[in-house]
Amino acid sequence: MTEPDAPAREDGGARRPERRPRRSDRPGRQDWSSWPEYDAAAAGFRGYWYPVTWSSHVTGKPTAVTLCGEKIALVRDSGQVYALHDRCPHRGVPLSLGDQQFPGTLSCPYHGWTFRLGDGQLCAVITDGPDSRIRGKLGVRTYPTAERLGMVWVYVPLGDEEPHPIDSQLPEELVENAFMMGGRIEPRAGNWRFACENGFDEGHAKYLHRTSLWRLFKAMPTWNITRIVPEGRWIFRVQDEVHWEADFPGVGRWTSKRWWKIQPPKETFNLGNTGKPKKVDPVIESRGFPGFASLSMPGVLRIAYPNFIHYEFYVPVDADNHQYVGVMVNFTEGWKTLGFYAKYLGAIRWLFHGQFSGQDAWMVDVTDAPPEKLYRPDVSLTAWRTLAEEETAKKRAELGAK
Amino acid sequence: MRRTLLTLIIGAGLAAAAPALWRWIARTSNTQVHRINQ
Repeated sequence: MTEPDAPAREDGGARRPERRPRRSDRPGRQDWSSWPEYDAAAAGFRGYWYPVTWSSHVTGKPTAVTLCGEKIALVRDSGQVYALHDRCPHRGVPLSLGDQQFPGTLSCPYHGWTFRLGDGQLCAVITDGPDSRIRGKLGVRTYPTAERLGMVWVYVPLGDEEPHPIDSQLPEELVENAFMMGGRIEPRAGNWRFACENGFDEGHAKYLHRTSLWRLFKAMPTWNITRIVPEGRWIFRVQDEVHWEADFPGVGRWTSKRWWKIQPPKETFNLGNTGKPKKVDPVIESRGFPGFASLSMPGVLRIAYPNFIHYEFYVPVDADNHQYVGVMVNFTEGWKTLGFYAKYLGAIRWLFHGQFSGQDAWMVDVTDAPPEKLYRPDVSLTAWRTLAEEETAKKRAELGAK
Repeated sequence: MRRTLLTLIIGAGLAAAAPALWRWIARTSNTQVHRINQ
């Protein structure tokens, strides 16, 4: 058997010049060295706020979370949430196993080393008496916290900087508008970058999710031609061509259209890649999104439909795990909010934030890249990695950190 | 009579416990619904 591209033997036959392999013959990208900051951010990008848990889950009893590889103890005191490095400097015991022996403090469960919640300073050592010589001489790191969208957010600093206002990092439409939101916070296996790339990935939803129950109500094309449009701190996926079915040479016709599923719209509308609706929510319309899927740092996905927006926050836990925070927002007020309770708890929670999103979790868990061989729709992935590089360079320049 | 009384007592107990039950489910569930800025 002859290899088609094997060089001619030196001992006979005409020697053919070695040709450069076609692009499709090349082995693909072996690493992410084209995006060094992104490559190095296995445990997440520092210098951002991250949602770590529901506000109602943080009480006077400490809660342990891991964020960007750092173990953090959360505790609520007088209504305020505090975050401390979850390790007693004495013997390395997690402070989150301790409790509050004095107001405004957290005591280690082992020997009663007691730390002030505000600044992390060791303010008492119960088993060494009131005149303990170590008191006030050390402490544990503290992290800035905030509460938004019913969740606790923790800022992980890049250096020793003050955090930027959390509202400048939230999607703009969520800062001042009134709305209803339903969400799911779930620990998941796999690196946060795979989850983020999956969220903004142009290609997968049409195929991977074809079996999900959510797709009974949401038609998706077979393939698209997509370009990426940057706007402010966001990048948008914009569909230039939408193909609902296609003939594949030599193999046949493929479509995800089925008689039992909602049929594709006659005219595709930009928001949600759906049919033109009778009415678009005024808040969503006023945003003038160039495309329905957008992404910003440090891994915030926004999928805008005519009457609701779905967000995903990919929270880095460590190099091998992340936390999925899915949020469905409906800009409704008054009696219409009751309908949202029913819709979210009765359907969306199970179908979209459940089975549909579970298919993503499955793929994120088994993704293993690089090496990788990207294809045309992966412009969404490379644009995101480039955005991460640019935003990180900007942040480092602003902070003067290297 | 006795059955009616029992039903009323259980019903009243469930009604009284409903808010606490709802808060417990909300506190422990990984899915929640919130009204924001309203």
